[in-house]
Amino acid sequence: MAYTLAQMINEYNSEDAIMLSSVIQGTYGLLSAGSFYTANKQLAHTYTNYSTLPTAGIRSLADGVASSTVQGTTVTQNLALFNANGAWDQAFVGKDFDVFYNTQAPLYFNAVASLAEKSMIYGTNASFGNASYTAKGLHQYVTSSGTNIQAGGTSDATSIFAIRFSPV
Amino acid sequence: MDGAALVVDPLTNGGMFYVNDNWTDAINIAGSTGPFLGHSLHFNMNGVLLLPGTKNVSAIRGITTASLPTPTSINDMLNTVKSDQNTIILCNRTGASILGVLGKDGNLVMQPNEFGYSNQIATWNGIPIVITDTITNTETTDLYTDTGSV
Repeated sequence: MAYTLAQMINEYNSEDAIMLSSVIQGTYGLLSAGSFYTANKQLAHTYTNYSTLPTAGIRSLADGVASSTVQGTTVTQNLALFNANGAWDQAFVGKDFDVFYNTQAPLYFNAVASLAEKSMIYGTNASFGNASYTAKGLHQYVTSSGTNIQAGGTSDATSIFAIRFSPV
Repeated sequence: MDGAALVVDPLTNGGMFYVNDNWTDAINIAGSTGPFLGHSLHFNMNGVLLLPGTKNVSAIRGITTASLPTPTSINDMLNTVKSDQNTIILCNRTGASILGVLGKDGNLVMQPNEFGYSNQIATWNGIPIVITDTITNTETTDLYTDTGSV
C-alpha cells in the first residue's frame, strides 16, 4: 500500500498532523503528493528489479509449450536519514515546553522537508543536490534513462517533471 | 518504530534531555555546569519514494523565458511515462506559470464585461500539476550529464 506523506502523517501521528501537513502542503509538492511505501527494513529497502519480461508465445492445440522465466535482480537501497537537531539553554526553553515545541517544530520540520525534497529531485549532484544522499535524484534518473527533453536553455533554467507512481 | 512510518516526538519523555526534573538545575555532565542541550525534536520516517522503473520519470529541462517547451513536448513528456491516474506533473511556480501560458494564452476570449483574467491551469490532459518550491530557476547544464554515483 502506497501512501502520500500527508496520508502517513495523518494516519500515524494525529497529534502533530495539522502542523506537519501545513508545512509540506503548498511548498513541498513532491513530499505532499508523491507515493511512499514503508521501507521493509529498518535502514534499507530491498526489492526485486525486473528489466525484461518473460517470452510469450502462441501455442497450437496439439503442440507443447516452452517455458520462459526471467531472473530479477535483488536491489537493496539504503535509506537516507534526514535530521535537524537543535540545542537550547534550558532558560530559553522555559517551563512550558508545549509552547516552545509548537514554535520550533515547524522550523525543524521545514528544514528536514527541504533537504529531503532537494535530495529527491537533485540527488547527489554536486551543485544542486547533496553528496551524502543515498539514491539518485529525479534529474539523475532522467539523465541515466534518457527520458528527458531539452527545451534549449543552459543556465538560469528550470525543469518540469512527469512522475508516474504506478508499479508497472 | 513498531510499524509507524513517521515518528515526530520530543526526545525522552516530554523533551527533557540532559535536564533534570525540576527544570532549574542542570545536570552536571563531565564536570561541566552547562548550558546543556535542553530539548531536541526527533523526526523519523522509514519511507521509500516509489519510482519502480526507469520509464517512470521524464522531464523537460533547460526551460527559460527564451527556451520554452511546446504543448507537444509536454504531451511527449507525459507519453514517455505512459501517464495514468497515478501520475503527477511536478514543477515550480515558474513552470506552472509556463504551463498556463502554453495552455491558455492566445486561446482565451474575454468579453468587455469580464475582468477576471486567469491563465492558471490545474491539470494537463487530466494529469494534476503539483507545485514545489524546491525546483530552482537557476539550473545549469551540470544536471544534464549527471547520472548519479549511487
